[in-house]
Amino acid sequence: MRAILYLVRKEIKNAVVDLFHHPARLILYLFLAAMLGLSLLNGTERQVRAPGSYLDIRILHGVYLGILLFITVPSVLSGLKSGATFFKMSDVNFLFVSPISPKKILAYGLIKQMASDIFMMIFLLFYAGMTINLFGVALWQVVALVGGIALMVFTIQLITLLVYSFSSGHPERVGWIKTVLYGVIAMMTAFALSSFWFHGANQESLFAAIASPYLEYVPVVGWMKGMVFAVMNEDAARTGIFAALNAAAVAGSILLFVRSDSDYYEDVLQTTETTFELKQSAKNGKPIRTRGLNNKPVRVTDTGILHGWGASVFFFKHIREMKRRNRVPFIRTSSIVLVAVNVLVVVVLQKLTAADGDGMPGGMLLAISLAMSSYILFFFNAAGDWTLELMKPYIYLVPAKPFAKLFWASLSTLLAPVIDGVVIFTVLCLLLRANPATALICMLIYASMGFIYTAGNILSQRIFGQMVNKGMIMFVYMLMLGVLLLPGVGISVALYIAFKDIPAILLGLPIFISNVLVSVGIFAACRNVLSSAEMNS
Amino acid sequence: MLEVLNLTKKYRNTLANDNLNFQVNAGEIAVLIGPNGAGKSTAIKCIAGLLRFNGNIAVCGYPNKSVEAKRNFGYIPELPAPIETLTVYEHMEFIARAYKVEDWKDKAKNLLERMELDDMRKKLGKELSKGMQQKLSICCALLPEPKVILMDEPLIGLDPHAIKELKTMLTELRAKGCTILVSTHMLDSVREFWDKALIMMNGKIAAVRTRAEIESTGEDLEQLFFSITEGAQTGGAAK
Repeated sequence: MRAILYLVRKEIKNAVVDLFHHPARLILYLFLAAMLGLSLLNGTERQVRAPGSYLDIRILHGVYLGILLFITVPSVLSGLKSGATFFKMSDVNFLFVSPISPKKILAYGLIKQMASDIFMMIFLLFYAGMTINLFGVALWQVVALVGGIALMVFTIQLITLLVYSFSSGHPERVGWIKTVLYGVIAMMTAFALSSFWFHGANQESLFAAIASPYLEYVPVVGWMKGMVFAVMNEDAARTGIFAALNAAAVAGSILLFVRSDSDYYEDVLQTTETTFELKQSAKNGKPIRTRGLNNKPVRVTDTGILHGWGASVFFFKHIREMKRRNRVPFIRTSSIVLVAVNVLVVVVLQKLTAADGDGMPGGMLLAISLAMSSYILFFFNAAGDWTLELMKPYIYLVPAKPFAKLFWASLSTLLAPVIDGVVIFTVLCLLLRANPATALICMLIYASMGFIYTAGNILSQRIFGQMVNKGMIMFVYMLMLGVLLLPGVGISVALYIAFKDIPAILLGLPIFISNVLVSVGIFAACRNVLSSAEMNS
Repeated sequence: MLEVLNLTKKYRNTLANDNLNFQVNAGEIAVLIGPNGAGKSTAIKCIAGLLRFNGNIAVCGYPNKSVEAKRNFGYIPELPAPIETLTVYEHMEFIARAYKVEDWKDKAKNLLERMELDDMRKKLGKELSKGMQQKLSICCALLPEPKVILMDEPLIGLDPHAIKELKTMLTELRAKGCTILVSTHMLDSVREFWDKALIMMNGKIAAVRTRAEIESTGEDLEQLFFSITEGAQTGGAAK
């Protein structure tokens, strides 16, 4: 045990010392801490408004349950395939082979993982101000919500480990677990739908269903949600019951895992090695195999890049890669998912608002879709062909002008949202029978959001280069995007204030024009980015 | 010809390359040797234009980051990075189009045959083993027929046939007047074909010897290498 304590002490000390050796990182952490403090302070100092002016708290119940399910289901499914680990390769190489009891090593791994989960969840507190403002909850209640998510992440990692240990090498057990998992989800969905059946398809039924106390008896996910909301409601009895259930889940998982197979090293080794390889790949600028393409075998039918000469070959290479991934270039699985999500949201909103009155106008629904799609596009764009190209040496080596390479290598990333936008808003326009001019401006703004995200990415590349800490860059990048979007949004807001009845197309046009101009400006200013960039090494 | 003048590369507080100066002439194979962490790979990456640096590097008289220089050099990285969703043959097509190589098909066929990759033409980058990835990397670098070739640990992961073939290729390229710089920490692997040895230690070039010098003085390269690398570790210095 002494050795492990020594290790923990040294790891903490060295991490702190390392932070002082990298002042930029330290400043960024301090900046984030200050922002977090401000956000929390802002949340607590807000005046309490009349109860009716906040959103229905049952929405928070539903969103929270959704977040917990989103954390849990994919994790268990991946556990069935590849297991989980909270060990690093250095733990395998040094601790696993040492004469330290495997149980102590497991405890060390668990504690370290828990600390890391709690640390990661601190960033969720950035949403504290928004939650307080929307739902009128207190700061300590937001802390309870975030704490619940951290505990869920920790618990689910344990369960994932147990699931893998139990099912590894037993396909029939994988089948049972999947059946149970899908069965639980189906039951939860059926419960929500039954509420519509009995009480009609309206907003009230939906809210009653998602906030139902019955859902809190669903194992683990429900228990965690139950505990958090019991804490928030200062309900000691329910807090006790759900805390006991959660503690039993954690303790039971550890006990079963330790007792079922004392040699857990083998269970975690493969995942630890895979994680290590992925990290090494990322560090060495090698493409990460799981990124952008799953490891399913791809049937190679037609071959050849066929077009392009010099820098333009990057674009046609991307087209070939797209065809191999999705058959039809630019129509990706994500595009289909995006259309489906938009249709679903619009239909649900239309039904809910129709039940309560005149219903939401088509233009408003298109605007909501535009905002939601633009937010999702931010994450799709970060994994675009352009970003992946920077991780391979060819973009730096090919003898062509840097601007030509920049343009052709980012063209497919620029075009993808144009095509997505046309598909999404054409479908929605037909579905809602909305004004085609409004749909057109939504398409243009959505496409221009893609341009500005890519331009922002290039600008961030120019300013930060290939910095190792992507999380930090992401935060600053988001701030930077806010600044880049400001001119267009500012003019549109000013127009709206000045002329309330202005048509949507005129209201959206400044955002589109400004986004395009800002993007062109960034491309021009960063035209030589590839001659000064460094490959991630 | 490759000319490196006052090359310095600093990573935060670490001086990876400290004022390197050397030249590799046409028709010459230079080996950059040194222990792990000596700064060999960093130097090669700086020359290949993948890293920022201070100093001057000229490839065939052009600054190394210029289009003209890029047209003249080929680079074989230490870690091969094939494009996952392109086939082996499409990698060759991609390079041919990117480097504007006319009549590339016969050249590509010849290279793939020599590296025993011709029956893998339809295999995707992600389906290749590490050794095959390295072979493909070599084919890609040599397809544009560069005048200067930079190789970072090129023999690692190759099977005996590929090692033999690559060594033969290197001597053929030298005979054609190519400038070749090979970085390695394995002295044995370059013993037969080097013309100039640049021994690196702690980011600096600690010694430069030509094969003629070694042969005329009877000095042993391996002994010199160890006297520099191990001598420095124990506080000694090499002349």
